[in-house]
Amino acid sequence: MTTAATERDALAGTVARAAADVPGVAFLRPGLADLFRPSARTGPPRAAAGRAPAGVRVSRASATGPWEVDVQIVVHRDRHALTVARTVRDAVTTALSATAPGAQVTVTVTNAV
Amino acid sequence: MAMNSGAELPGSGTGPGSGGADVPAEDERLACGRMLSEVWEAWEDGADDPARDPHLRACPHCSAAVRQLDLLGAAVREAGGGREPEWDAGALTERVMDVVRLELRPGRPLPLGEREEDLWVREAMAAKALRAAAETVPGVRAGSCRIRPAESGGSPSRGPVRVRLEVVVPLTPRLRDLAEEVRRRVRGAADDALGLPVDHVDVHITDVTDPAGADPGGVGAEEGNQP
Repeated sequence: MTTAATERDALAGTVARAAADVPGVAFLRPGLADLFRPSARTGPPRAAAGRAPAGVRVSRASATGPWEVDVQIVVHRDRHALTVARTVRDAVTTALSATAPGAQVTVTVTNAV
Repeated sequence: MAMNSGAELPGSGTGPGSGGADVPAEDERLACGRMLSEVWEAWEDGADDPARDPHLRACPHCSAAVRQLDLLGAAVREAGGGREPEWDAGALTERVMDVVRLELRPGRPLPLGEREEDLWVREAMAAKALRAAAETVPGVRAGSCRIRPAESGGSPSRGPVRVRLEVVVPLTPRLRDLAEEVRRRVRGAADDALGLPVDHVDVHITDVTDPAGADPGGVGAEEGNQP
């Protein structure tokens, strides 16, 4: 595994922990679709070890560009989706302030349970 | 996974046209031209009755899509290993299916909050919340709920959305007032439960039911339509 991939997976882990700890977040998007429709996904299967958590995607356009972080969450039914999403964005931004300052954080609410 | 056996969709309808990196799971159009989401909805509403829509039974694409949903349902029901549950498993099954369904068909991303923010909610979840809000009006049953950007332009748009909701309502002399109440509650839920900026709510009354419950089939509803 390359250094870049290791760094990316470490960031994804940080993001996942920060997001999952936010009140109102039930869990990160489970990624069931990948289980049901493996053939629909293109590209080689990812290495089992160090696999990024489902619901978190971390990328950057260039080696020095800002990180782009995409978080997909499932919220508790009785919580205000926008408020939870904003809190997740702020928590992730704070958690990344040391290792990935200036990261662009996108939060998507995919379901409520 | 065994889930796939016998239930592959013959040729996914999403082709090279769905180019955007982050608009993957919009409405999926089957090769026959129907929307997958509509086929599933029709099946769950019991509209697969050949007398009502022969296409659903005859079309290989639609029937494969329905078979896929059926397999999911069977797998969830059998997940308990055939044991007789000591509690009502139906509600749990429904919730699990709910999660699975939204996972497979999340719909397009819709903007949450202010225009300059980068926060989103998936259409299927938003529609579920808005339909539930409509059904808080006594006797009202919500059907199809489509949510689209009110303004065309960049994709995905950050502007307010337009909601088109179909409802079946009890027969009353004040259909317009009833539709207005549905609209008010849908707007309220978009604001209070989601934080979804709404430009417009179209309420379409597709049928009316007899409040006495004598005729569950309802009567013609042409005059109930509200623009």
